[in-house]
Amino acid sequence: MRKALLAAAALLVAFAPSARAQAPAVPRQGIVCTNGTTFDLTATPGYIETPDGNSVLMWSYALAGGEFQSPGPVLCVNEGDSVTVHLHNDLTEPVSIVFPGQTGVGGSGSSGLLAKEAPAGGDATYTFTASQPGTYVYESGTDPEKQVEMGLYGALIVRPAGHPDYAYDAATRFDPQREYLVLLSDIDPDLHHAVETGAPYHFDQLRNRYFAINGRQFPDTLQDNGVSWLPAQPYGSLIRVKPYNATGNPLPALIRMANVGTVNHPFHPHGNHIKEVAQDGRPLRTPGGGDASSEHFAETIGSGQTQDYLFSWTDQDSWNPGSNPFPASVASPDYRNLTFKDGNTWSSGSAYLGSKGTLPVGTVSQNICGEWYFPWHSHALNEFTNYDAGFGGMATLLRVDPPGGCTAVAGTASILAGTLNSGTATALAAADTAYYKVNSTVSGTRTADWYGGFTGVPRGSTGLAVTYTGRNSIAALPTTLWIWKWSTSTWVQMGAATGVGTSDVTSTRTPPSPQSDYIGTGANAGKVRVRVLTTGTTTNFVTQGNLLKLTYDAP
Amino acid sequence: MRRTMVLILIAVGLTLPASPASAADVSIDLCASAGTLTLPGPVTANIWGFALAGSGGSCAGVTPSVPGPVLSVDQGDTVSIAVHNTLTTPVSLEVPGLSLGQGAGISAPAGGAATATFTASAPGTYLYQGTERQVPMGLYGALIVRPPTAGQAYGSATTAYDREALLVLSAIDPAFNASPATADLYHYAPKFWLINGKAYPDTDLVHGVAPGTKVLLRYLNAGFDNTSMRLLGAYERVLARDAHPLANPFDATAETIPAGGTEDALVTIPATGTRFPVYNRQLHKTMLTFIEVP
Repeated sequence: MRKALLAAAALLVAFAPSARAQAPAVPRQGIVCTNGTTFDLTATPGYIETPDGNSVLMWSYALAGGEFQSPGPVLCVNEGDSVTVHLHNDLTEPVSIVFPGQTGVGGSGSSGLLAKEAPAGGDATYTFTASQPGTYVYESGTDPEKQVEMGLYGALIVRPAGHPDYAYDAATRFDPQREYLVLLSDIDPDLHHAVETGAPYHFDQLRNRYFAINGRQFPDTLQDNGVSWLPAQPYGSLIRVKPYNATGNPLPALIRMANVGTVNHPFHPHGNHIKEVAQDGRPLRTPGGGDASSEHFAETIGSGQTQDYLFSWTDQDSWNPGSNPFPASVASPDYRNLTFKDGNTWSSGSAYLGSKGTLPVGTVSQNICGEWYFPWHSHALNEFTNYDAGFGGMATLLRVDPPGGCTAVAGTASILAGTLNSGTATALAAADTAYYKVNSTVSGTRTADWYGGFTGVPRGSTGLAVTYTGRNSIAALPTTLWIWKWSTSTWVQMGAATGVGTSDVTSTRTPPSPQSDYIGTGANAGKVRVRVLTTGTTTNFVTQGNLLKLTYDAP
Repeated sequence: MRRTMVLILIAVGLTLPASPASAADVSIDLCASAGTLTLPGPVTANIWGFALAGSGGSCAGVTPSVPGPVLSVDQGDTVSIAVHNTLTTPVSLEVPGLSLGQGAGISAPAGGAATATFTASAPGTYLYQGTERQVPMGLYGALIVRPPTAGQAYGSATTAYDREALLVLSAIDPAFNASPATADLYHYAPKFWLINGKAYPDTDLVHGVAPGTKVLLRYLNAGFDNTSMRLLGAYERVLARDAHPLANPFDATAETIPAGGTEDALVTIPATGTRFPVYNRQLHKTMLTFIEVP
């Protein structure tokens, strides 16, 4: 009976008139900022879904005219901004917002215990100057034991003036493409049910059952921002980095953590240290102004607290199956440790970053191309569950992508003009002594024209780049690389011709945007084709392919 | 022997800076007695509490309080605390962070007395307390050890303050307190969350002086769980934990004080605002007070 009621209510919510105001550009992963200096929020009820199939009534702040969302939108402003937040109250009791860490908060509304309040159906306004950069929370200041538990909270980000890539100062510069929010919360569904049904609300009987990051419970935390099947929980929390590289990838990721829950949460960045640089929006410094940051592999985020962390992942050993293999004394991975649950794993089956290996029969791997995953989670293990069933709850994954992105080598080779001399596509897997050889045509202007086929390139991949290494039997023949555009069934040339003689020459090319044109769909899902066209003279020749490789950033 | 420094100020707005004094022998007589605490509702809870004894260590007619009286001594003082126990169970006294000489603590038998003598070796904010079931019953209080320089929490001038306030955090489950000897701790479930023994709206205000002046908040967690305290509209600079100054003080708006721990934080009153809430961020709403200016 309760389920039916929930479903009906959820439908009402779903069909409420809506148009997402101030809709931010939503990256697949990472923080989703709602930028501005004036924000219109509405306190409103709605439902979230939990991975175990439950739905829970929440109250939250939504963008006015937008859809219900939990948590409230991430408000992003710049240091020095005069910020105005209008609050409209669609709940049936007074509600308010407090801004911990902001001083001199003014505004209008009814007088409340901790802040000006918007009466039921009414409005309130808050104004303040975002005087110092940092990570802050905002939340209800009215009957917090009910309203904060019900979900009236969100994050406020203040960026340093002129330096959106600093958390605070030059010492906290980060890679803007790798900025993450980890907003911790907890839910006692019985209390929410009491609010839903008008039953007595006994906060002293609190027993949390759901534990969330950015409003979602694991494994929903891994899904992209804004996925359609979690309409009220728009924020994912998969954290992605690439190995540190002094020239190619020198900047750390920024992890903005905040705890809007009712209890302190011990958060564990499993397998890694992360560097705490600030608390409650203030950088950690020595009395002399020096660096007082500290490295942690477990840190308690106190209720109401925020902490900022910088994180670089360094591949210290650089194990490589070709150039730097594991010593014989190092045990191969223990598959029992790799299987996550019910034969499901994110492991590649290989301990080499960027390589895939063999997994036990029956194991389903979510791994794309040998990237590594670490669970980042609450180490209060009851919080690593959904209603006591593990794994779930307050957990996400750190994903370390291979430094050059995902790599695929041609699995097939097909000749468009010319004839096979010797070899197969397997010769194209590595720059070595094995070649895939094609005889040119034998009349007129001789050409050798062939393509390699790649498979398993995920839809949504970006950063496609082709590397070809090859040579010819005679000197200095112009060679062009092409890529198949599935939407028009045509070849698209990538860059100018390269002169290729009797020694190996390596060329790297990137196709023009949009790159989705080059990844097959439907029956050709995940297929990419790259063509090598060598144009000669009136002399027969043999073109000799050594390596044909595709790199890409998987979604 | 000097007794004048034993302050009996239990209100939150504690005191102006005390004047410095040279090391002395300080003798304090405490009674451990049964009493009651009136909480919002009103609900009357049984308590055990400490009280300052009358002359000659007499406990006749004294009224115990939760928390017990604030004890204030100077760094270097030789302190003797005698516990006169009027309860029908033994009562312990320990001061975590200070060596009592007799081991971890002393125990006064039912109807008897015991004395702890120790040197107030380092300045700071300390809890004095009983043990086990005596603590949730209310046998705890604050001991402040003052450095030689008046108006400072510690030796460093960066710990200077204009006003100070004690925030003794605790909780009470009246059902436990009704039968402390037999109550099943599995069912221990506090109903009242207290600052200095009072639940909002009965809590006392913290009084600031004026914008730019500094209020020292001495948090002491005599409760059973780690407690996150939120400050709105201002920052507090965390100076010390467990009576140890931090090498790198930092600014916070939400600080967790572990059960049994103490923390000293300095609030510089901002230019704007006259009322700054200090409250339990774990949503136990009666653990709430305000810093008010003036």
